[in-house]
Amino acid sequence: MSIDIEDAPLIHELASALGCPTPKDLALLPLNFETAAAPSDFLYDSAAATVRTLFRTSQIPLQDLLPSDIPRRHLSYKNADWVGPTLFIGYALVSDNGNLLNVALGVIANYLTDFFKGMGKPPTIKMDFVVEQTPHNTYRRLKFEGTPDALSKLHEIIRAISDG
Amino acid sequence: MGETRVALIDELNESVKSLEGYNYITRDSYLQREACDNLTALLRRLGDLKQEAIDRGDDDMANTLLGFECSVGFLRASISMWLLLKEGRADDAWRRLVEAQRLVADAVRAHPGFARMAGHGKQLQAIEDLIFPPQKFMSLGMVVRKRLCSICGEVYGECDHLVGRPYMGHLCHTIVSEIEEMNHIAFVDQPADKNARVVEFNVPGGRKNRMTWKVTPGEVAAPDPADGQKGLAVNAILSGDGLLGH
Repeated sequence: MSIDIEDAPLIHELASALGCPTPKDLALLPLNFETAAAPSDFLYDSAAATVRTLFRTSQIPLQDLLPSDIPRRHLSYKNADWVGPTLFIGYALVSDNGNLLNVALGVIANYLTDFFKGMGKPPTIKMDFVVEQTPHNTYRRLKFEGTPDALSKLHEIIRAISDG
Repeated sequence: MGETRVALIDELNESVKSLEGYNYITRDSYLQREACDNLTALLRRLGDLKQEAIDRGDDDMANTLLGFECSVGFLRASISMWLLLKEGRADDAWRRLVEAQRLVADAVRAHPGFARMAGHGKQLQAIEDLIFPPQKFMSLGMVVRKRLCSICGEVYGECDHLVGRPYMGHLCHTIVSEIEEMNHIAFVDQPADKNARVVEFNVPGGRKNRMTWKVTPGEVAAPDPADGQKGLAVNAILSGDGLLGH
């Protein structure tokens, strides 16, 4: 497993400049959130659609930054590594409803455990998380690479980042 | 119905087991071809049985039969791989290896009863590592405007189906229906589609097959250093039959 933590841009300012709602609890950030000129430019990892379905069918609320009338564009590629979308995690979610974060990570990890069964050489999971810190309006990016099992146990690290 | 189901599964297991013994390179080629014919016939029967289960709305049985289809398909692909290697057709044998690997993973996904197939995945990986030379794999990236779900035809992500999960005898995958642009081509260590690879590269006087190292004579377009070109010209497959994606 490998984890890198670095500063992330001011998400609320980027969202405001793009005319998007400010991410609150859980939201999928597009790959090009920092460079897009408008929401119509948003480009998502192809696995974003799978994560949206996983959360919706598990009753995990997920905020959509893309207006419903704009088509969702995805970057598709043929790499066996599973590259997940960037998941925004709000401070309030970690502090008030930490169990939901555990469930969200577990739902993705369980899906990937099943998905990788039978593969001779298990692929790597790569997924970024942008975590809102206290005090509000500072953000850190956690870059994760590892197994589904390691992904399911990330919540403690995310909580520590969120607490600053 | 329960007893009939168990009897059918036992019978299918016996049929597969009786043909597993041909999955070695040392077996007689004539007998291996006969085994492949028997596996093809078994696949046809499984297709009919699966359709009957689908018509009954029996999701569990349809997925069980999908698991058998993948297992039988794996065995046929694996025996074919050995036959092709013995015939000196290394590129074709590679395609059968990749097919066998995909079908093993699909069998495990199809139904929990096929979890034991995971061991074959490890064996096939060992065969890839020991029998075949290392390959240079490719990954084609593209910006997609619309991907459809293979199960219901809706936009993937808006229905409740998930890639790699079984639904009434079929594994969900996505179908790209609108491509905005080709985004990149990359060399990768772990491709989703192992058929996407460098097949041959240019050498003085011809093209050298990456699998056999045999040179096919002919004129080749080599990079011209006078034009500032560097590197190696190659022929590559950019997309094979890797349907699953992410």
